[in-house]
Amino acid sequence: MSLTEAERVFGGITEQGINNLLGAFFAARPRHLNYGSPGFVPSTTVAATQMGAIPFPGAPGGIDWAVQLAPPTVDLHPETDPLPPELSLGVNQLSVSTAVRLCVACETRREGERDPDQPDDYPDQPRDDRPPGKAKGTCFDLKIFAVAHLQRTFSPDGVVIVVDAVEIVDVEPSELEAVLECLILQILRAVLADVRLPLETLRAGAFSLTLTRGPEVENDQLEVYGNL
Amino acid sequence: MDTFDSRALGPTDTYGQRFMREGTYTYTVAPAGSGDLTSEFPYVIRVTNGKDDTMEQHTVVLRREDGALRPDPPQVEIKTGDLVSWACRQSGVQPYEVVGKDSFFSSGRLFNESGYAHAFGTPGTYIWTDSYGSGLSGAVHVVDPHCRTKDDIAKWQRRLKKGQLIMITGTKAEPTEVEIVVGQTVYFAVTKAPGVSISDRRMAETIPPWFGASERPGKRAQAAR
Amino acid sequence: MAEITVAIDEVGADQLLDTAIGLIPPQVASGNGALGPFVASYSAAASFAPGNVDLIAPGTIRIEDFQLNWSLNFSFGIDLSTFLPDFCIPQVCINIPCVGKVCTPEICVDWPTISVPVSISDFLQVTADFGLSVTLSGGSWKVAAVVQGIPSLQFGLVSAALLVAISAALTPILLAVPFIGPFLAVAANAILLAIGIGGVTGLLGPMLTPFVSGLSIPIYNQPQTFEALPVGGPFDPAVFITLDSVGASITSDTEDELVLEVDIT
Repeated sequence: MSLTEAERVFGGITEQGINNLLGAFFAARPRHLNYGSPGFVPSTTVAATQMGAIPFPGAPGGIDWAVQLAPPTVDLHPETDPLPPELSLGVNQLSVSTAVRLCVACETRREGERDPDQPDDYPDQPRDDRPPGKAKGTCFDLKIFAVAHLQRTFSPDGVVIVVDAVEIVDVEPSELEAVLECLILQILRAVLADVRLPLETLRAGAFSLTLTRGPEVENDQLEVYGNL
Repeated sequence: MDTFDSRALGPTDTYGQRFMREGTYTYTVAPAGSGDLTSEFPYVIRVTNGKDDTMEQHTVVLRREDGALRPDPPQVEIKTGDLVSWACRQSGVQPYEVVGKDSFFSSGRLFNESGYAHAFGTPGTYIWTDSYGSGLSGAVHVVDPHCRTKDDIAKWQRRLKKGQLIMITGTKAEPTEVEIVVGQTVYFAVTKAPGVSISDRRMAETIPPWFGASERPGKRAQAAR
Repeated sequence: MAEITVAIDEVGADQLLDTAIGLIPPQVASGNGALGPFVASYSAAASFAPGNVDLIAPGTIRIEDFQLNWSLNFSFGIDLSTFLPDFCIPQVCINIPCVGKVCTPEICVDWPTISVPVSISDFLQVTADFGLSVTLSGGSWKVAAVVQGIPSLQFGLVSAALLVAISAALTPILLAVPFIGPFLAVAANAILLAIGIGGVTGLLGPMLTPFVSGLSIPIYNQPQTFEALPVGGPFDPAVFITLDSVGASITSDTEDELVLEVDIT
């Protein structure tokens, strides 16, 4: 069977290729994996994106929080990386696996305050060297599995990963798991919506391609077809 | 097209002058157009009285030596009424004129009993005229012999032995028009004239004579030293 | 399996190479060449027009009937004395009335050396096989279709046309040579015979063949450090990937295809 089939031009990138691209993306723009309120991210930089603190009455300055994701790894249909039984990979789908660290600030050191854990009488004990305003996070890590599909984007022609469902394994109670899955689904969708891969990049700049078919996921490859 | 001008002789030209009186006549051979600047006349024609009226022709061959044209022989002994002809047949020679110390005797300006011949090499109609403005003029029609075979070429080469004569008397030419084939010679015989040139009209219009048409024969003025 | 695979079918390859050939700038060359017994100084220019592409596995692109458009300016010198017989106008004697017989000396003609300038433009249909060349140079990956071997150019009618052009250029120059009229046809024929079709081909071949044998049609050219995404804002720098390797081949399954394979990190 020919590669181009009924079209003039074929472009295909393997899941390893997509993972290499994602790795390069997040290495160059890590702020798309690191989010936090001012207690954790004083200002937006290449490394991290500042978000607003959660406002709450009685919590001056709001509740500081942070989310960090590990660079996601994709597995194109057919399934190679095992998924939790709650998820299954269909035709034209891909799985996304990553890890998420969620942090909430339990206390934020204010100007002039002394660290209550630091006794005055024991100056040689570890001091709290956090700068003023820096939050001390209480965090937990979660392994995340998701299934997604590819969607075409325009200007420029490209593809984006759209998450369909997320599964967190073994969090109790199940209602908490559901809340976290809902939260992370939205977070993951937002993060991956920023990762728009141009078709030209998926072809390493070879030839030209006006898309007439795809993107399709088949044989561990993302495939696009078109004319010159 | 060919160009021809008795003021500027080339390898296909011949100049002739009859000497009708006894005497010693000196001359030089100079680049065309520079004759009137000449002050030295190293070559000699000695004319002694002839016993009868027969005319003898003496041919002086001009050869390039050391950058100049030198006559061979440099001295000629002739009888009155004889004709001396000058010609240089070497190719690549700069146009020249034969300049006598006596100004009746010059290829640059033809007076009585002189002649100029030119062999035409290229087809065309050549209108000739006197560059000194006497009104003398005529036409030479040169035609292609259209040689296609060896016989044609042989026939043409035989024809080359025959020349065409144009007699010039005063400011009249007879005939005024002639027709020849490529390679043939036209001889302009000047029996009597006020000092004329036989010049392709294009040359006459482009290169006027240095001195005016009113100049008469006599001793040539010495150039400023 | 390579991480990125891009393929184009034969029809697409034909379009791709048509465009690529059209973008090749005119080539120029100059020098001296043999034109039969003469030496010609020439300057030549060539450009190409597309042909029909046939992809042949595993690595040949045959382009049939592409056009080499060429123009040539050259000049050569001819010593006419080698072609024309010695010729002298004999002594001419004329009877001048009342004067007598006057004769002019014989005139022997030195045939000159003439210079003949010739200009001609024409084209050749060429069929040639191209191999795929993959190189990494100057920090860029380049894939090109490169002519294999030295194609044999069929001059045929072009040689005859060049002889006609030489004849046309020669005639006015000969006509300007004095006394050549009766010998004109002989001179022209002798010169053209001396050159002959072999002489013309002998000039055209070495002059035009390098335009074709040196032909390289670019197919792919990308920097090894490839910009996957441009700068997206003050906190989103450009994203680069490295093209670790590039391969090119022709495959023949249900149809012939030109395939590029790229590995990236």
